[in-house]
Amino acid sequence: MGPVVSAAHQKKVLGYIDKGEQEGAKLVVDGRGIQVAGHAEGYYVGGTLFDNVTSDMTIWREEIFGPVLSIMRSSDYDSALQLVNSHEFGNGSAIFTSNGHTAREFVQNVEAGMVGVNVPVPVPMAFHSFGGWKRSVFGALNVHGPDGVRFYTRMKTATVRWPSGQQTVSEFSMPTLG
Amino acid sequence: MTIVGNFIGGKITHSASNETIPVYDPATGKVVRELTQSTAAEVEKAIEVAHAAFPEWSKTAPLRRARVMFNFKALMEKHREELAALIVSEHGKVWSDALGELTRGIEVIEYACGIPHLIKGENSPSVGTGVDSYSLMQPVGVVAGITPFNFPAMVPLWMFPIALACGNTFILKPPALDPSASVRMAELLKEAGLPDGVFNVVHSSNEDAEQLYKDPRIAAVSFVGSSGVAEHIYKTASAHGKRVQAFGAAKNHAIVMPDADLDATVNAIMGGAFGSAGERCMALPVVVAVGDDTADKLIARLTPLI
Repeated sequence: MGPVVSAAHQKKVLGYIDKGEQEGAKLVVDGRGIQVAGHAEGYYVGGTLFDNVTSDMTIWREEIFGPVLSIMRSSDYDSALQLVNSHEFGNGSAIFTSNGHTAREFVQNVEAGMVGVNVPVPVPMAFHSFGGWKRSVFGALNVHGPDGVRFYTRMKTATVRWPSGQQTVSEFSMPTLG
Repeated sequence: MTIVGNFIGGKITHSASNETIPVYDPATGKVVRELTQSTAAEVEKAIEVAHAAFPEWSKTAPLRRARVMFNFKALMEKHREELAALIVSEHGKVWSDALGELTRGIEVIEYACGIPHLIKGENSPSVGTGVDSYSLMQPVGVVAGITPFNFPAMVPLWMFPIALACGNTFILKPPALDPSASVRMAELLKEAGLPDGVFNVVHSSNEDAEQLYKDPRIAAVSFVGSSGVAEHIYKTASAHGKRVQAFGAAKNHAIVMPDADLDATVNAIMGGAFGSAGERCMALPVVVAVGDDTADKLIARLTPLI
């Protein structure tokens, strides 16, 4: 794991860790103040772990885009799914289970465009198309793969007859060809 | 100090304004390069160049366009390490992550190589007596791509290999934080046989880039970034008659069931949450553990690893 991309972003991520603490999440591993030998001026943020995160917290609601992991606790699958689906973003989602039925239910019912079963980062292959749901996407077609081809082309449909005297009268009504 | 330039009409160019912004190495906080900043007029020029290049490129046989992509794939593989070094120096991700991003991007070039098959239309003989019907998939025109800092090679590669293979011309506005990979790819495309003006890279302020969402010569816009900007671009470009795909933010959750393979799950979560320092729209920043026992076990295993 390297540094985050900029000084501004480092500050933003550190701010989220502060916020998580302030809002009552349990800070299990604190990535603030990390020092990387020989890279004193680098934009490093250490891996951070929060427990007891709840859906009223900023660190749950907003995308942090940094090395901050939040653990939430749910009593059963149905409320876990409801929690997942309540979020405004729907890019990717995953389930870790050895039960095929649960996995199948999850794949069918989760409100996300890219789903992993025992796979944490279910990014579609180049020959499929990438894209999420809800506020993670604006537009009708996903990127790369078959959707990519559709997005970057426009359809033209031709109807062709090579007449040799067939059309003997004008046709003013809706043409039916059969 | 090297200045990263635009790539317009087959040439590296620097803005006549001589204005530049610094590009930093996140591992050291030091400036590694300067990036040219185009004027609004220079962005407009790029649109003009891409528009002028469209007729000939769009009439090039798909098979010939595919051959350029085959060449491009070979050149990308030859120059993998050079590109990875550019990515690491500007984005800060670790070496294996940079190579991984390039692999996934090259896979899209491989897909685009199949364009002769991919753009086949449909054919219905005898829809009426002596009448046949068929569809063609034709290119849309000039396409704009605006891409985020987190995948300086892969996200552009999601877009332009297919766009170009379909017969469109392209203007890429890459991320200001890590722009070099895009310019190098433009050079490799030229080496692969792509005619000048078909693929262009322009660096500008977000304000000057707004033209890309409004200029009537641009037919389609592809964007990846934050949801706020995605929504703005979607609305602006759509209002100006373009087709748009704008991908925004994420907060991916993983449900962990009590019957999950815990060790495998912990490994998966570590990579998903902390790979690339969490700077992915497909990062895994939230785990919903079903049952306190599951949560406690996960935390006990994760804590020493983190």
